[in-house]
Amino acid sequence: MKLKALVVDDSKVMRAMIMQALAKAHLGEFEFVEASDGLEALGRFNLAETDICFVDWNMPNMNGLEFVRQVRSITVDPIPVVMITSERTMGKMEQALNEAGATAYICKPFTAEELRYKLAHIVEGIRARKATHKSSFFSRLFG
Amino acid sequence: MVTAYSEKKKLFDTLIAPVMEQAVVQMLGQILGEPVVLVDQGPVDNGHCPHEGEDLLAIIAFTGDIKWAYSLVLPKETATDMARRFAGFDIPYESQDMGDVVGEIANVLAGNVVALLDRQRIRCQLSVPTVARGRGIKIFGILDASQHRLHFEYSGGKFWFRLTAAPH
Repeated sequence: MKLKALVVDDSKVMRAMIMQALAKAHLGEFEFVEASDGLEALGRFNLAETDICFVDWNMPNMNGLEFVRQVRSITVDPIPVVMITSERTMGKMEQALNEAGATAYICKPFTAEELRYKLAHIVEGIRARKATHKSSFFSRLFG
Repeated sequence: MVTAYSEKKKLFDTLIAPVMEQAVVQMLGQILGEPVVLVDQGPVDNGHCPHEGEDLLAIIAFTGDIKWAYSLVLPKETATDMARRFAGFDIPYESQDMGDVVGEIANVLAGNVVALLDRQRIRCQLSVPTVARGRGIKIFGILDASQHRLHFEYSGGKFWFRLTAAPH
């Protein structure tokens, strides 16, 4: 089962690095949608389809923190939003995780191993939730 | 919180260069996978890049308790090597992606600088990077502003930083 991941970073190379590291992290298959800032990401965010978001902090137009706030304000389901950023103070981490509601916080530079370590349980949760939804859908369909 | 300009200038003169050195050695050492060595440092003389070839320049500005900026100057060969090690794949020097990756390296480094300053209760926020490419780039500093240069080296080449304090 492919997970639909929204990768948001104003650096095209960094988006490529995130996608490459996720592919190497043995977290299963992903289908990627890219955006270069928070505003563009909100336009590409699909409530019914997006499974997980990876978002940078410092971006033009709308920063990552505001994107997290916006996603949290429009979704009831806790869609995981992972911040991948060069901001590495405790204050910023607390702001992202506790105030805005980010699910996880990863500092750049990162490795595929680090992504695996920090994301394994999150990805497992998404897959379990999707499997439950799928099975309840078929139960309703066929009784 | 630091308020008086004289106090800010003193902080810049005594604190920023050592913190910058620590951040570069730590973070670029990690990115490049080998030690990075400070080979020379001192006051800025005439703003010229210290060599005649083609360079990439990334500028990050900091606001907060101390207003300052750094310029990272990478000769073509160093930029190509550093970009490959950072991204994990080759990036053509002439491409837009090269500017993108050098800006990202400067950004990651700046994040480490902010974290190191934060540990000393100096609060700073960083700007998004500005990247330029050219030959014999001259950086004009603000008159009377404190400026400092740091020269580093690793097996992939040399690179330079120019640190400039805002006058107020």
